Amino acid sequence: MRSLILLIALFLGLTVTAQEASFEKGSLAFETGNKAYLEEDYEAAIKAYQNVLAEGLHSKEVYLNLGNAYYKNGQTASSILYFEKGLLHFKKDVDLLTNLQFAENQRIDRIEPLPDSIIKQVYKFLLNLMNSESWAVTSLIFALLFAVTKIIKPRLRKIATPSLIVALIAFLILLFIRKIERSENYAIVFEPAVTVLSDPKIDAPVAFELHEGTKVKPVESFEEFQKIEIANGQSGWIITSSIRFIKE
Amino acid sequence: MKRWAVLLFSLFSLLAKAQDNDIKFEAVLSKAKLGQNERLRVSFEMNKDGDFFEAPSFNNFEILMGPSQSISSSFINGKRSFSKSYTYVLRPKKQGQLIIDSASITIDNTVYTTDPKTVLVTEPIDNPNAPKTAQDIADESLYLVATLSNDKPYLNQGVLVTYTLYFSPRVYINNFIPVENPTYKNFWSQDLPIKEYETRRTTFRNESFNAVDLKTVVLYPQKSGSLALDPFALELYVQIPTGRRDFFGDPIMRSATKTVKAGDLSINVKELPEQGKPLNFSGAVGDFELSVEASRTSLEVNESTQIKVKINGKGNLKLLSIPELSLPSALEKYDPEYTDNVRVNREGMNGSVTNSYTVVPRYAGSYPVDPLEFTYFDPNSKSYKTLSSYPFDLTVEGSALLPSTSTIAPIAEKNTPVTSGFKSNAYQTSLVTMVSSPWFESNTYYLILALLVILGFSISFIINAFKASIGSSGQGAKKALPKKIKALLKRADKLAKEQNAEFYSIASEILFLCLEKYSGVDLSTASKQEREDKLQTLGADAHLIERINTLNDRILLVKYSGSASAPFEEDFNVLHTIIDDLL
Repeated sequence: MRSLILLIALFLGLTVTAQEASFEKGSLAFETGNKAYLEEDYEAAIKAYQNVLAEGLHSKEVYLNLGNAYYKNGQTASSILYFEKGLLHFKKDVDLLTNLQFAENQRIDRIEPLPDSIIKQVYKFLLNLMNSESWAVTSLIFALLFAVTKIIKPRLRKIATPSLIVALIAFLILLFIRKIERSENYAIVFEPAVTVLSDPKIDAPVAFELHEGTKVKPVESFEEFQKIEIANGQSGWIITSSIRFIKE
Repeated sequence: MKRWAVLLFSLFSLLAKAQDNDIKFEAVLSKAKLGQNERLRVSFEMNKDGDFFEAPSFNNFEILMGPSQSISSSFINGKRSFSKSYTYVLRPKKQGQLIIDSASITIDNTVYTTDPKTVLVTEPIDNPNAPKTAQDIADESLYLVATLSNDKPYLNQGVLVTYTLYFSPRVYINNFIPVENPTYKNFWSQDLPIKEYETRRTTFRNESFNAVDLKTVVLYPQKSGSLALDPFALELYVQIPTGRRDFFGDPIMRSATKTVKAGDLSINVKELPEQGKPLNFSGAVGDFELSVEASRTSLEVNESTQIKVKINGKGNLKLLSIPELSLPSALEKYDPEYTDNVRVNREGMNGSVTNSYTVVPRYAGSYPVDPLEFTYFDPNSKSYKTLSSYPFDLTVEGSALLPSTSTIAPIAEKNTPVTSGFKSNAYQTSLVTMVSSPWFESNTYYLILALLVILGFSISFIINAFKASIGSSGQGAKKALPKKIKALLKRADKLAKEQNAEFYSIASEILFLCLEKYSGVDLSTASKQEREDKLQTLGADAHLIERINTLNDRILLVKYSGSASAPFEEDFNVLHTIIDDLL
């Protein structure tokens, strides 16, 4: 019995120390990156910040600094990619959004987006009210309220049913938001100039041309081709190696 | 004796002198080329008399006259010259190259022969044996010739065509008018005007001629293959001296007009080699330089700068396309202004062409201007060359990221930061472990949520069951008054306060609804006895039954005799207690 406890303690200790070591490494890499960035050695800075991410650690600052390093190094597409990656985890972060705007200004393509569909508008409206985390918390709080009022019955009886309804609605909204978010996978064009074909074959007629840094929406893939859609609704086939997905 | 010696010597010297003079025997033709209806005079001339002259056979000729002999001998300054000739006049029998065979003669015991001669006999001519007119002279003394600087150029390589008029010094040119001007299909062409005609002496067709360049054109072929040039024709007005002189000694001139043509040339235009042809080749041929320059590279938001893409050098400058400047979309770029500074001379076009773009940055930032590439074919080295400009950055100062009227990027409208420039690096961070999915997507969250709801329901169920088992269900059931009865009660209350007789019909309705609910049977049509029995079997106490009967009686009373002195309020209270007891 004692040995078992000892074993568990040891195991826990090991994992904790491993995690701590990883955190230490990550922090160190972040510091290294910052130093290199200040010395305008952007290549080295990029490498260091990438090491932080490779440790499985992140923070919005890492994404911001990495994107900045790419931006300063003239790698527009990579810089957009990492700002977008950051925004995936840290939604609506003003710093990331600002610098993403700067990076996007360097793009050559100017694509007029289509107006949002009704579903998209609803999605944006709901997300504007609260982010998905808050919706989740809301659903939990009202479910708890429901349970509690059911126990302390007579006085709070009247709010039991409404709170159950609120919890249910919040839960459904959360499911809706997550469903939309999962379908919102974008990719960034990495080639300086790439032709979009109308069919998934090399000698297919050219539909249009895209340039580095443009955000595209992958729709389906076929062999080494990827069907993409751009903000103005046009679509075509592109060689998969010329784009990189924001969500991996 | 001495006299003899002198005589002998003089004789010998004479002989020697005679021996010195070579004996000549040759055939002389009046012309080497004649029409079939013309006559040919052939004379066999010798410079010493001989014997046994034998004329050739003249196979293809008809002898019109001859042989006629003529002898002439003369002494000039003590020299003796002698000539004798046999002359024939012949007419050719057929056309073509005809041969006059050799004739022979014996002079001083030696046989001499003439060389055979050839004569070209052509079509019969109109005016045989007429003297040359001014027109004839004009014909043979005026020529227009076109020369190409390069008859095998590449596509789009410049070629200079020069039209030169050759004229004999015998004729005087008064004027010339171009009658046919070539249009040069499939060529880009430019006339090089000649300000002053310069005459120069040259040899043309083995004769001395004057030459003058009348027209020079630079051509740039736009198509490969054998391209024909249209002829260029001139009408010339000339003066030709007749050889006679007038009374005052001035030469008498005749005027003539003559149309001369040149051209009908074809140029063999070579296709540019396919080998090594770059994809972005746009047809520039020559020798060029490329430069991309901005009037300033550091500016404020909404200020403008000029970016000039300039190509200078030699070649088809006016025909080439200047590479398009590609800029980030955040820079507002206006359509370029094209200017050219191209001179055309005998070497072709040279100078520069420029596309000038006005660029207005709308957002602050640093924008790379990527190097432009320009490919051309160099005909001298017969290879393609690619130029590339130097990249540079446009630095735009200013704090505002202006929200544009039309959103640029989908993300921009989500949350457009209105102020603030580029965010610099952050140097403090708290790292967290990356998680693939947020906590609210885990099963734990779903489980907790489901648990809370189920717990809520089950607890209330348990409590209800517990209370029911304790037995104080009356109060619990009280609230379960049917909606219909509730509504009717409300109305009844209102009617009772108004002392309205209708109250009793409502009260009757309520009463029987309650009874039905209590007993499960509709008792409104049952008799009083039946009702009492039913209620008694259901365990209602006698007091309640009595009250029901009293109320029913009152209802019936009012129904049949009016409600003059009915105690509304009291009856309503009775009804209430009955309902409370029944349900």
